Amino acid sequence: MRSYEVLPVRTLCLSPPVPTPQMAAPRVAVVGAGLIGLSTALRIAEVNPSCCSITLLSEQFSPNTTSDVAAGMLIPHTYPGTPIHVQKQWFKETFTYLFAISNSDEASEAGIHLVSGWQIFKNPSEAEVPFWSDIVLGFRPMSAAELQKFPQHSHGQAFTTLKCDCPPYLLWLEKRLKANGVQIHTRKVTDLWELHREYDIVVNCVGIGARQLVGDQQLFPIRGQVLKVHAPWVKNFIRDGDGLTYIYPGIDSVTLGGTREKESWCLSPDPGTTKDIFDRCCSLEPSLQRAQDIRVKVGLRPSRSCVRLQREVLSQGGAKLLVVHNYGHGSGGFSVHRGTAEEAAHLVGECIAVLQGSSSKAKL
Amino acid sequence: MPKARSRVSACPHLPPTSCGTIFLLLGTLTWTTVTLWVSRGWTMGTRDSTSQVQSRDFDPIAQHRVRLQALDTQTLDCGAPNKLRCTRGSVEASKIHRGCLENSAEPRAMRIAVIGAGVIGLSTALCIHDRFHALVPQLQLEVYADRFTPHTTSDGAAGLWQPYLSDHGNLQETLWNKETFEHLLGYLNLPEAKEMGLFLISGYNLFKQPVPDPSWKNIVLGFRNLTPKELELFPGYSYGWFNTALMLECRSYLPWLTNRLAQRGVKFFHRKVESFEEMFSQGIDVVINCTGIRAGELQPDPALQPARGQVIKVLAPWVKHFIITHDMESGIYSSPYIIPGSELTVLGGIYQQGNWNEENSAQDHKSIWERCCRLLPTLQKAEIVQEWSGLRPARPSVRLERESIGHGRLRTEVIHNYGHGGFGITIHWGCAMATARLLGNVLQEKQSQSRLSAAAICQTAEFPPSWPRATYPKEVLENMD
Repeated sequence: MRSYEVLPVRTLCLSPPVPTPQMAAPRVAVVGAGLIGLSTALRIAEVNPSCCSITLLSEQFSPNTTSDVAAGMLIPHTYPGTPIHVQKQWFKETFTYLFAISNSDEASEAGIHLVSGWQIFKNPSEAEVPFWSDIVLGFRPMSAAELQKFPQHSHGQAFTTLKCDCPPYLLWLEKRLKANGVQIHTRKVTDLWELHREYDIVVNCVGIGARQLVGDQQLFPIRGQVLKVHAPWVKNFIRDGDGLTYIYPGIDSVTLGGTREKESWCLSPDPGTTKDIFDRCCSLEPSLQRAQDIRVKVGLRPSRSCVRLQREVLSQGGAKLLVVHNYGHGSGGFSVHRGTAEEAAHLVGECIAVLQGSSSKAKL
Repeated sequence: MPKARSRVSACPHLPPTSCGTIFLLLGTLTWTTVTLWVSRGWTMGTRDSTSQVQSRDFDPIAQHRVRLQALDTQTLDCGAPNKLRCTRGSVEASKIHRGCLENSAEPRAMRIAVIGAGVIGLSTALCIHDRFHALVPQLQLEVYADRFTPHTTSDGAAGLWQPYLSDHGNLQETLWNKETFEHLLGYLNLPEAKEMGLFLISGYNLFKQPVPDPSWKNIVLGFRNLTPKELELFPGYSYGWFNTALMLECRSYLPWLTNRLAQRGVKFFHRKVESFEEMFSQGIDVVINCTGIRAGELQPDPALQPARGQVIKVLAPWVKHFIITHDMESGIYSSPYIIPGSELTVLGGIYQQGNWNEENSAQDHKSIWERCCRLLPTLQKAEIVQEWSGLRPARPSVRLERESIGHGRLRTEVIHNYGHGGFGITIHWGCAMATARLLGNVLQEKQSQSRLSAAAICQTAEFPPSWPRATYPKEVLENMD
């Protein structure tokens, strides 16, 4: 089977392709029902209405996806392999989209809410102003009085950002998909080619599963263990600049983290790690010692130097399958998901155009 | 100076040899008596070098000690119920009323009654106990109230620390607010903050036009103006502040205070106090009046008026910020506000001066609900759990002062601490400390009075009745029967 990758070309003002009478509506399959799969499927449906049929296939659904483990905070991770202006654009689109939801009467169902708090540093050199500081709300350095709460830290940044609580957000996305006529099926896909008869375009949003599904060796897990606790008096987030210790208050629970273990595939919670996370979080917020109902979760961040957002053509014999990849978001999935979904939707549009072009050519 | 007990009188009718013998006998007797005086320390100050009575000052307490030491007996508690009378002559020499000595050195129990068990009453009681229990061991603190948590005005309040927008030049109150904030901050990093109902919370104050910064801008954390993007969240409001403040939920704080007080042996009495006189007739020495809105029932105060509030408590755990809107024309808390607590979110915006009605009003409910949902559309999905009305004890300024009630022997002290309006939680600890300071003055005055009283008691009991009264100092004479 030959495959070649097509570099992504971002077209502005792409109008939805109109199906020609000779060609049946292209059949699109989105594989993966985590945050990326659901949001990409939704965006494709929004951008290409009535021109293609969309089906979502996944082995796992909420609450059993990697996305369900994450806190869902909109605090971007920096991808070394992607230009900063692109990452900033993705974050801005995501923030704007979610900001509008948080301000609507759908906010509680979608699990989207504003939360304010602090990012604190022991090392002054780490406290640089990040590229996203003008996208979040009210970003400023912490005052001396604010820092008194954290005697071990010398610098900090205060800001207000958004949080997407899962499962609510994923369930809300699923509901929106169904409203847009997207079919959802539980199915384990072991090889993309197996879909070539039923579908014309496959969107690969399988996250860490891509290591096995498409054999991407650049993709590796960064294991994260977190605690979800009942501590409803915690209203502000606290994040240590080292990214290892954080307290993120959600709707029904507070997420305490965490770990970043490269190349660990272990999905079982480790009790020693649980205690360590709890102790580290209690040192930042001592009232957490009164937290109740502690649940432990583990997720494998699908890490990569950059998100794989590319088209690919799989062909065997005379048959072809157009693929759009959208995976490898690592620890930054929530922060950029709408932006990458937008780009993936554009790539799908390009694929549709290619299919229509080739069908016209075939006509000739 | 004590008089000699023996008298020498001339006896001219006896023969010369008999007179010589008589003179010899009398001389011996005199010498013996003087020796006894000296050895028993009946003369003032010659025996005990530590006594201060060689000076011109009269110190009955030191006197008493000197006497006891000379008797060379141990001080024992004879067990008699009334220690005020020490009739040394009728008691065994080996037993001395320690109570007599106690009374001259330390007065009897000092009973302080706090009336009111809201945030003001309980915090004032705790502050008083903290400050005085070691210095004044005979302090006996009692709390009287007809309503305890969760039925006090404090329990209905959301619990946000935030003063009114302007202090109207009342710098004293601004200082008390600051003291309260800083006191609470001290507890924030302890695990028991949760038991206290204490936690940090950030949020928004919204206005329809620019306003001057408030007196408390440097007390709260991270005070700043709102950015244009933030203001997009609140259509209709063009100016605002963001800051991080504290929440102190009285549903937790009042039980926490109650437990601390009970652990320290403070007694609680569940009853309505009808008058200050009622307290004094039961032997209370000082009354601390923390009766809030009903202070007028103990003593009329036209300056104290109800400012009725009503709130709806909903389940909206996705709301993490307080949002307080302001309408500069209609006044404080008459504009919608949303304050998320640890379990429920409080929606409010009612401030009705002069309205004593503690019943929930359907019209106010509708007004709160509509205005808050307009402010935060996501609230439409929130489940309504509770509704509550209460009367803020509003007054142009807090009444925090001493007052002497009665006269002469029945003169007693009341310290008032009421009239905290809608900022009781915000100001409570500063006021508690100020009240404790006033009590300190009262206690000091009482102590010096009681030393003199005890001396008088001691004098009448101990000093031989044959001592001429003219030798007593006039302070003692005044306090004697």
